[in-house]
Amino acid sequence: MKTKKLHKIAPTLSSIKKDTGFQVSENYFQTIEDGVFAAISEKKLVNIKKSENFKVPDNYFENTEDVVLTKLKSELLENKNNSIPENYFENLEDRVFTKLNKKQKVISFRKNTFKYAASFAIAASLALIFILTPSNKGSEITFDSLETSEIEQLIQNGLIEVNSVTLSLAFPDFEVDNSLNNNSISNEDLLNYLDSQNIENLLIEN
Amino acid sequence: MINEKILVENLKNPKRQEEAFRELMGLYKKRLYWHIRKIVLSHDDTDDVLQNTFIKVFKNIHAFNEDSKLYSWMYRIATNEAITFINQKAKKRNIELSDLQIEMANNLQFENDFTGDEIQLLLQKAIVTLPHKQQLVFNMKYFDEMKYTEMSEILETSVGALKSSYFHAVNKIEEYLKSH
Repeated sequence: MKTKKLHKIAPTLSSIKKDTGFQVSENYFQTIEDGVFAAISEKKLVNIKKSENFKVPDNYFENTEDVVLTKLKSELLENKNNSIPENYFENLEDRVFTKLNKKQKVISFRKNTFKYAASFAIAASLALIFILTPSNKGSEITFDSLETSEIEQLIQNGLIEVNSVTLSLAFPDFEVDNSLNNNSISNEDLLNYLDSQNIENLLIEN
Repeated sequence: MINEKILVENLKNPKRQEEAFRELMGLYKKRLYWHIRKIVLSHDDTDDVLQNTFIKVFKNIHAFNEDSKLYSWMYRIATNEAITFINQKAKKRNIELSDLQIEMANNLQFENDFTGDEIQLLLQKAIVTLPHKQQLVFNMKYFDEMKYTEMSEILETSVGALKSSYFHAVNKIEEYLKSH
């Protein structure tokens, strides 16, 4: 960019004296070489004589080409013997995608453990409560006799405590996941968790 | 004028290496110093980077591809060393490089080895607000008046891209100067 052009597009800049403003003593440049040599000596670079410490067999370099070529030929032959099937790369993507799709259909038990255990815990606790609680009306209430809306109402009102302990009491033969056993999940936590999840995403994911 | 080819040959010859290396430093020390200084700003840091640059040149002279220019190769090493240096400095301080540069430019007014006037200080403050590559391009073109072809070899960027980069840099600096 010429001065005139610079003046045209940047008049303020072009009016400034072209000087960085940085200063350095002139003596500095007289000693820089010695400083660098001192640093190199410190790093023991100058005094190391290259490759003199290593010996090679006599005539080693005379037949290097032959040795390399022989090795190369044998490697090429070996590769030929281990060759890959024809058209291997042509349908590789399809095979990978087929494999991927198969894997996606497998339901991850770990991922769903919490959801299934939680649902199971609700059902089991309700069954336990209604089987063991004496009826006020004199007639026995069973799980089947309850409407879904009534169960939901009870959970919302916090009248039913659902946790892994309740579950293990109701079904001693059922092995509860350790993580659930160690961390008791309260009704409130469970509802908060379910509220925080996008159910649609969970369904798509699985 | 020194024959670069002979100089490189001598640098690779153990018997003449030291003498050739001294000659090489004598030839390029000032240009490389000022190039580095504009990136790292302080004299002490420049001194460190300049020494590291020469040491790297010395250690790697056997790997130097004689198809390219020695001068461009050394400039490239100096640029990389300077950028690595300020990056490491920012990392040590756990701050962004751009923040470190702004801080360094703001501190220039308290430095003994900066004697620029108010407007020159403002120009330094403006430069550090540019993207890093534009800072390099601006310094090399505006202060060093380097040819685009030379810059292209050093920065490994096309001449067209460099021209555009310089144009943007000049405009941004002008804006900064006008508004401060």
